[in-house]
Formats: sequence, C-alpha cells, structure tokens
Amino acid sequence: MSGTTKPLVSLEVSFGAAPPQGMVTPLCQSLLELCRPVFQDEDAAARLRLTAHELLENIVKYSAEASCDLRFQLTRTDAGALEAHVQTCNVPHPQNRRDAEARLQALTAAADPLEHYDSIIADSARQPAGSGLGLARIHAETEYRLSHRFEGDALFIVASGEVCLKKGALP
Amino acid sequence: MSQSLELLAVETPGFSCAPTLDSDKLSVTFVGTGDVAAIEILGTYLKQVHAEAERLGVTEVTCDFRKLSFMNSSCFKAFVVWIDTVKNAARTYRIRFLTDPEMHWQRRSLEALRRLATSVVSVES
Repeated sequence: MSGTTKPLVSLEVSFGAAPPQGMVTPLCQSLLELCRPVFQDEDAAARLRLTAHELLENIVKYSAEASCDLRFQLTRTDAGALEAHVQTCNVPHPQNRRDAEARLQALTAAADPLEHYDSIIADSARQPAGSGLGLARIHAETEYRLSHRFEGDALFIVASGEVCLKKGALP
Repeated sequence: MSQSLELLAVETPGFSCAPTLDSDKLSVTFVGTGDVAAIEILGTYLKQVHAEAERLGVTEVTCDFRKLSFMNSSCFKAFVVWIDTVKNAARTYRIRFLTDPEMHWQRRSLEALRRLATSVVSVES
C-alpha cells in the first residue's frame, strides 16, 4: 500500500472470517475518532470514514469463509504530501469475483467519476443488490483513488486520498 | 376535512424515523446512523412514507437529516428507490432534505440524490 515508505500511522484489523455486520459502524467510528484530532478539517475525517465504511461493508457482504483484513495507513509521498490509505483484503465468493473486477475496472476507467456515479445511482433504483454503489460512492464523493489487484483468490482494494494535518499534529 | 397521520415512528438501537404532519406537509426526522442494521427498516419505512404521502395528498415531504450522523450506500439506495418511485408516480410531491452543513457527507450524498430527480428533490441547510 505504501511501497517501501515507512507509514506515519498504521492500523490493521484482521478477522478470521468475514466480520459480523455489527462491527462495521463501531470500527469506522473509531477510525474517525482516531483521525479527527490530527486532520486539519472535519471533511477529511468524514471522507475517510465513508471510505472505510463502504469497503468494510463489502467485505462483510461478499466474503467467502476466509480471513480478511482492513488496514489504514497515513504516509508521506516523495513530494511531501500526506496521503491516507484504506486497504481491504478478502476472498470474495467465486460468483462475486468477476462482478467486483468489472465494477472496479469500470470505475477507474471512467473519464468523469460524477457522471459514472450518476448512471450507477440511476441503474441501482431497479437493481435488487450488488450495484456497486458503495465503490462508486467512494470514487465520486470522497475523491479517493481506487485501485485493486488479485493475489490468488484474494482481492486487495486500496483507496488513497490526500489529507492535510493540523500543524504539529504528527512529528 | 383535515386528515390525521397514520404513519408511525420506528426506532431501533442507533436509528430512528419519526413523522409529523403540518397542514399539507409531511416531515420525517431521521436520527442516528443509517448502517446495515437500519437497511430493512428504512426500505420498508420509505414505502410507507410514500403510501402515506399519496393517501394524504401532500405537496411536500421533508426529510430532516440534521441528526443523522452517517448513511451507508444501502440506506442511500433506499432513498434512490423512493425518489425513483416518486419521480415516476402519476401524482408527485416534492422531497426536501434538511441538512447539517457540519456533516459534510450529507452535502455530497444528497446532491447526488438531487441530480437523480432535480424536479422532485431539493437540498437545504
């Protein structure tokens, strides 16, 4: 996620199987509270919370019985900017794998994230489930960049976005 | 003759919806966190809101989000379905969202809902 750069902050939560639904909100609320004192603005913390929540809920909904994890990192780029990263790793159900890949590819290839988001919203009105709305919401509403890769059966999704910290908040 | 409100409030741990009727305007106040535990309740409730709005013949339904701290994409989708229903109904009413500007997610998410049906949805803070 951060390559060889040493993260300023790193937090990882691992689960032996897909986490229970009831853990998603408290976990993401904790992440929000963790970042609130150091992020320069409340909006940055809210965008991070939304990103973590949507990614974690996808794990809950689409994981096969296998371990999965959520990782949060704060890193400094070579150019000196600060970036927040949220990564999830899980093994999706085989029937969801192709869907997930197609949706992620369509999202990252979309020339206009907002236009793509609007079309997914309109389509989702008549789709029972699995419309990819959560991922599209991250892409359009938080402006985090999404990337993904498969390692064997495991799907890694990384959302990264630039953040500003309060002066002197971290060494 | 004025009609009375037949829609009831619903409450679960962490999430609630409470309706009020003032003249020809129906309001629903949403409180808490719209997460996975609220999805089913919210989906059902918005269908009831629509049925009640049609029965009462209201011109506007206000959704007060000022005490709603977060909404996940599944709850967001429940609003998409409702707005799509209203947009395509024979007799429509306006949906007005009241927001808290300090809750930044509300502006972004509700603006997306407004774009879905600009003639039906308005967003105010």
